[in-house]
Amino acid sequence: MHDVYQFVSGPLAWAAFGLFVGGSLYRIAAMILLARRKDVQVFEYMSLRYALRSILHWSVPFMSVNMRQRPVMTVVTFLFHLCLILSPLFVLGHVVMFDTSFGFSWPALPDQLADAMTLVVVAACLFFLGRRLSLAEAQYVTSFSDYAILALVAAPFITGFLAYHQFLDYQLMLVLHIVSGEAMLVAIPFTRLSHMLFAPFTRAYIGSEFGAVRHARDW
Amino acid sequence: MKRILTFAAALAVLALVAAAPGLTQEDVRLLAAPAFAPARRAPVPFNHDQHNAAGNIEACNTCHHAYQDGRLAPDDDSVGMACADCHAADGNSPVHLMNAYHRQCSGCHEQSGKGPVMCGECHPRE
Repeated sequence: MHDVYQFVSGPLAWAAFGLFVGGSLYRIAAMILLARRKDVQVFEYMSLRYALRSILHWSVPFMSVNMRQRPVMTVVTFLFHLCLILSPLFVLGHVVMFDTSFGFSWPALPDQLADAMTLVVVAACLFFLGRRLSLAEAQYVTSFSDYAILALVAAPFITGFLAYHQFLDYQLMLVLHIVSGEAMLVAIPFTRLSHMLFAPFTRAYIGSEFGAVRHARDW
Repeated sequence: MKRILTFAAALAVLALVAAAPGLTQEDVRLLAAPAFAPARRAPVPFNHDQHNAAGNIEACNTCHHAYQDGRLAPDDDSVGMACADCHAADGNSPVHLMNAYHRQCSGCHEQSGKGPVMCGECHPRE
């Protein structure tokens, strides 16, 4: 198992981060080129003021009508995204591994808080699963890949929780945690998780068109 | 009264057992440098002689290395010094104390293909 661990935490980690960064840059560059060719108005209408106005209204909980109409979804989705992004960046184990390898570190979250944030992510994934299964309007736009992506996102958090608490087979859990985290990272540029890269641009354009062209609100 | 005596005797035995580790190098010791307090992970159980037998380590300075003017002094050792004497825990040294332990221990384990390398293999759950 140590050979496997060294492979997944060494060369495979480099490959995963490389694919994540390279893939993300490629997707953004390709999208800009595509827009230049087919949707020139995207660049003509883009306005910094209306872009930031729209991003602000969709980044603050309950600042849009849509969020006020769906309060439960709003709370869950904000907590989910916050915990999803912050806990891996600031969990002690990750900070220490980075320090050991590169001699560089930053403050880490208290263990209990990171633990709670992990459970929030897993619980939110279950909520999204239930929502896709039960709501007709969600079911209508759901395909198999949406369930697969939900599992892909939940996996590193479930295995991370189990590895941290050393429940079940610790060595296996840690390896699964690393591999599933790497799989999720690589999936970001190449699946619907790419909304992480594109959402700011989408929001910025919709905000610009609604603000400068239609003189209407988009929130 | 008899119950209290039995309890006291049991307590005394417990205290003796608890005090025993750390007295000699043959015992399992906990690597818990005071500089780490308050530590966020459990101290690492370590048996000096068993470790060296399992790892075929004969020279003291394989682990107790000595540096002079920033260079490894291959014929010298640092036996008797605490790691924290050179490796400050607060980051005021080129290799701070936690990195000194992590790099020295798991670094060697990874290179030699022997010994624990995953976080929880050395730091048991408290």
